[in-house]
Amino acid sequence: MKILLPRREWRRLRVGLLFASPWIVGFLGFTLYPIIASFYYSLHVYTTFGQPMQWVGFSNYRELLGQDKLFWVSLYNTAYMVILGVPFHIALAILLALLLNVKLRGVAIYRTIYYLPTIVPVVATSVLWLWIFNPEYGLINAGLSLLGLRGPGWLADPGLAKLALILMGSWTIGGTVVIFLAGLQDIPQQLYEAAMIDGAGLLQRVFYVTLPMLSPVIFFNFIIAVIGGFQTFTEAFIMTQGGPLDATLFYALYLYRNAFEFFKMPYASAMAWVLFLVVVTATIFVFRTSARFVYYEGDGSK
Amino acid sequence: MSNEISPDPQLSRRSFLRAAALGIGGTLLVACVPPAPGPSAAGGEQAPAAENAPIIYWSMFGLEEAAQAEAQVARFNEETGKNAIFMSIGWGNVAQKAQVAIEGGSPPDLVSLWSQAYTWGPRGLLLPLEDYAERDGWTGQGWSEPAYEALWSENHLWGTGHTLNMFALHINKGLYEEAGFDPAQPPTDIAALDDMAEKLTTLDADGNLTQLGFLPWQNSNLWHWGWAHGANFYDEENDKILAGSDEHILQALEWFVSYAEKYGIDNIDRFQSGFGRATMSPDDPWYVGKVAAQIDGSWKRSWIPRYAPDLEYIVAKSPTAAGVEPVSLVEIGAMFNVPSGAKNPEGAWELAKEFASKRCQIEFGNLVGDIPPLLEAARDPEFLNSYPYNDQFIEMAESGGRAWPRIPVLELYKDEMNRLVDEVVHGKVQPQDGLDALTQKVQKELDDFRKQTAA
Repeated sequence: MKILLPRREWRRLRVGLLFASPWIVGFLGFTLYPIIASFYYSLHVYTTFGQPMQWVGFSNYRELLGQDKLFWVSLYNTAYMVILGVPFHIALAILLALLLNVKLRGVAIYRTIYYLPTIVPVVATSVLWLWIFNPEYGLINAGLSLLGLRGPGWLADPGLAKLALILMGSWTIGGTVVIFLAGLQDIPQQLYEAAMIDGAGLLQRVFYVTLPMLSPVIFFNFIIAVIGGFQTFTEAFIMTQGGPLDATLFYALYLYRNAFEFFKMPYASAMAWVLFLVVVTATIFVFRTSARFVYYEGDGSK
Repeated sequence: MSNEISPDPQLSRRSFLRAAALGIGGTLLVACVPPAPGPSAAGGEQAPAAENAPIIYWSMFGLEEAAQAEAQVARFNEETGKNAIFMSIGWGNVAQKAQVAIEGGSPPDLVSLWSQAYTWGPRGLLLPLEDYAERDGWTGQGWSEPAYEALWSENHLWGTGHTLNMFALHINKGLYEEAGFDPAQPPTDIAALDDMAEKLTTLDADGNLTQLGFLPWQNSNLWHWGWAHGANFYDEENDKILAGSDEHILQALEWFVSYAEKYGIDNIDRFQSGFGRATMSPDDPWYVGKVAAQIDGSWKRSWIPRYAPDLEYIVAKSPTAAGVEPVSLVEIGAMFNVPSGAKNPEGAWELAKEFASKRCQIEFGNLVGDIPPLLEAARDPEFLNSYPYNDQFIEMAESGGRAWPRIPVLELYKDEMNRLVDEVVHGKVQPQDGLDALTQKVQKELDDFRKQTAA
């Protein structure tokens, strides 16, 4: 059993670590340290700047889970965005990627057009969609009124506000589409040819060739979208400030309020750790169930 | 380099685990060290600042207000030989930036905020200034009483000010006259207000609102109308939140509900969400006649010539319930606070005093329309005649003005009040139940804070 590396290998290792050191230092200092520190702080209360914190054990967590009604409201709102929003966006992105995968002249232009919204800053997007959703003058309700329908209140309606935000999120799925496009390019043509020889129609080809071969990419995008979904913040911060009637009070927004408006930093740290546990649980759950629907080429599994 | 093929340097499992343990253990150690205590309060061991040490001033103002503040700073430098540096941060950013800077240990020397002092001060982010004030004899003499009180909380003076935000009923004169009212007789009590609201609200054939005469929560809040019904929100002597126990607040809240029921809250929501931007834009619903009358701030009169020059308007003191004198919030529009850890607190205090001087107050009042807290400055013809209806506001600054409850959980109190009104007018909770829940929550936060700071 090797205990010490031979000198040459040790030297190479040192060089490698040296090259990686900016990232390592950054990770330790700006990611790992704050994470661990925030857990430490969440076990205290911190009232006066400059004075030492007071140890309270898990009382912040107890208060969060036991007495804070808004915690559960914000968790529900966030879970709503994840459970309804993510599948919708993924499905839409796949559909779009399939459409953009055709070998037409000028398809590159369409791909660019669909990607452009993702580079618009979130703040600008939020203000833009605030106007699109305006019940009196917005584009959507104006369009509906042309059809003789009375458009709903969208962001002013507590029952619809989250759906409106999900709709808005579908404007920026360009990044996901691009990743799916890359995945689609990877599917070998002979599979399609074999399927067509066997008499498969378009839909059958999509469901029995494309989607299974695309499943690792779907899985990746799904995880990323879930993690992102749990962190919804900017849209609510800019557009609705958590309203109406706390319908868009998302977890991250409530955390921000506790930290920076009510000055309860340790409480907000506890919230952050609870969110972390929720996201980790969700991710593990998705990973565990992934074996059933993700097909990796070269894998012997179904 | 030898010629032989060497295998890739494999880090043995042990070495990797050891290195990882070292890295994480080291990080844990660093992370779990409690933060070093910050700088001490006024009078602590601060080396006397050099004669021309800079006074860094972060201002919330932009545009014309910033230009004026910069000129005032330049004049201060000329006259005193000091070195004050003006930086326009903008009101959208200044609070957040200042907070981060203070906690990070490199704050400016002076910063203009609004009611942050009540939350930040007791939490050690600001320097208490009462020692400086006592030394220099700065006593707020001649100031509007609620205005001067508003600079203090928890027995500390947190800053000076040079302007007051005050509020009154702004009525669209054209619409008012059309409905048959006499512009010289604005409503003075709640009944007259309701009557005006009734006559000036119009619906279309489908029952949708096309014009709102008046709505209590349009551009205003339960604080104002609570005070207008004679309420008290906080008992200073006993440190008690009174939202649940003061019957006037309940009356005001039920009055809100009456409007929700009259027009239908869905209708109101739809109409309100169609309003354009109200701040610094010609789309303000009151300018364009969508709302006939609303409670608005003293600065509005300086915006009207800019954004709605053809608008004819009346400003009247807010109607109140029987037996209550006309009332308005008296809010320090810009409080000049000295952050904890400022390098030049002495210079900052000098600058803060200068901003609070009579001439600066008049200059700012003339630019923005807000009322100078020094009553002598407010009554000075130079300010008095600068905008119509100044005297209405000044009378309320002299008597009838109310200040915020200056408690360390004010932000939470305000947030909860907004939520309460929202829920009550939408019928989600009964007024008294909502008030009780709010009282319980805010009182608990307040008590917790007292306990934690007493320890």
